[in-house]
Amino acid sequence: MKPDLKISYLGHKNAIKSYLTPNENLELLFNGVELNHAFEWLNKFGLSHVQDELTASLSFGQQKKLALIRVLAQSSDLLVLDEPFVGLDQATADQLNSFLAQKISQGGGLILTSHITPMIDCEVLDLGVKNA
Amino acid sequence: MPSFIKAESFKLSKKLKSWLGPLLVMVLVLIAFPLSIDISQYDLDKFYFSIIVVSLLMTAFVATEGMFEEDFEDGSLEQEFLKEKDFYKLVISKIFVYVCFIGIPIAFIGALFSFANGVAIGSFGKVFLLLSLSNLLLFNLFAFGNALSINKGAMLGVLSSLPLALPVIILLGRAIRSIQYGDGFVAVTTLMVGIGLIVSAIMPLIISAALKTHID
Repeated sequence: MKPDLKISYLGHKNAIKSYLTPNENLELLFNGVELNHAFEWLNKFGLSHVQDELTASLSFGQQKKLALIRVLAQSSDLLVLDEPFVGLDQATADQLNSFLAQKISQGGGLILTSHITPMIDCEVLDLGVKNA
Repeated sequence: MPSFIKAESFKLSKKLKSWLGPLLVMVLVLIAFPLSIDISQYDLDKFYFSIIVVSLLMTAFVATEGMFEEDFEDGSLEQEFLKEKDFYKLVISKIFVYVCFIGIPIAFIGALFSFANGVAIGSFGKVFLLLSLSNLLLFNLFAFGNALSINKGAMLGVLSSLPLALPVIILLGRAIRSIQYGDGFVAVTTLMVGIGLIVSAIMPLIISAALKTHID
């Protein structure tokens, strides 16, 4: 692995601050061009109407979208995602699928674990548990 | 480093309970103690410093509780580890911000109350300096305790950091006597500054290593 490889990671923890608003969370994470990208994603995900509300008061799905923006807005060589589709509505899942497909087509790396099959062309390692 | 300080300042400023709570506890203890005893029987100015020292210890402990826990619980530490590979800058910034937001105001309150209880007005600056230096040491020590106890139970942090705080208290007691009797203040203060600089440089390394063990 390259030592300067830029990795974006979304684990099972969202890494967002519940006592801040979505806007404040993004301002804490990004600046400059990446912050503009982040705000674009906020609009695309339909979170602009709750951008000044406390993150703690958002629904599970809205919090998940906010966590995804951390991954989507920053430039990276490799994406590592743990169950990114959980809690997302179909429209957002489609947007994520489209983003991931574009990322792969541009030569980016992607490792994701998911119980929901992503609609992207990638190598799948099936870890399905066999019945005893 | 400035970006870390800016981010930590912003986060702490939004957590009113985290920074205002310890200040209120300090004020409450310093007011409540003289009210709870019959002060006419005692020379309060002779022993009131002891109350300030104990309050300082207590509020520093309360203030640093949950210093790293929140970042661990919400996954921010994992994200930080991916970017920085260690936590040195994060830890040193966090301690700096906590000392500025909580430690120095606590020292100011302590110095103010010592003046209000019979200490010469000329000693205000000296008391404030000593209490600030003590807070720098205590915040470093208790941050270490907090880093240890993130997911291993709070007792580990308490058991490891409280004994380390005792030399600080002894040193502060000695420094305060030097103010009361006007002897050796510069020597003790220089010693505290020296220890403060060493602890502030080394402790974040140890805390960073402790935090890594939770993430690896």
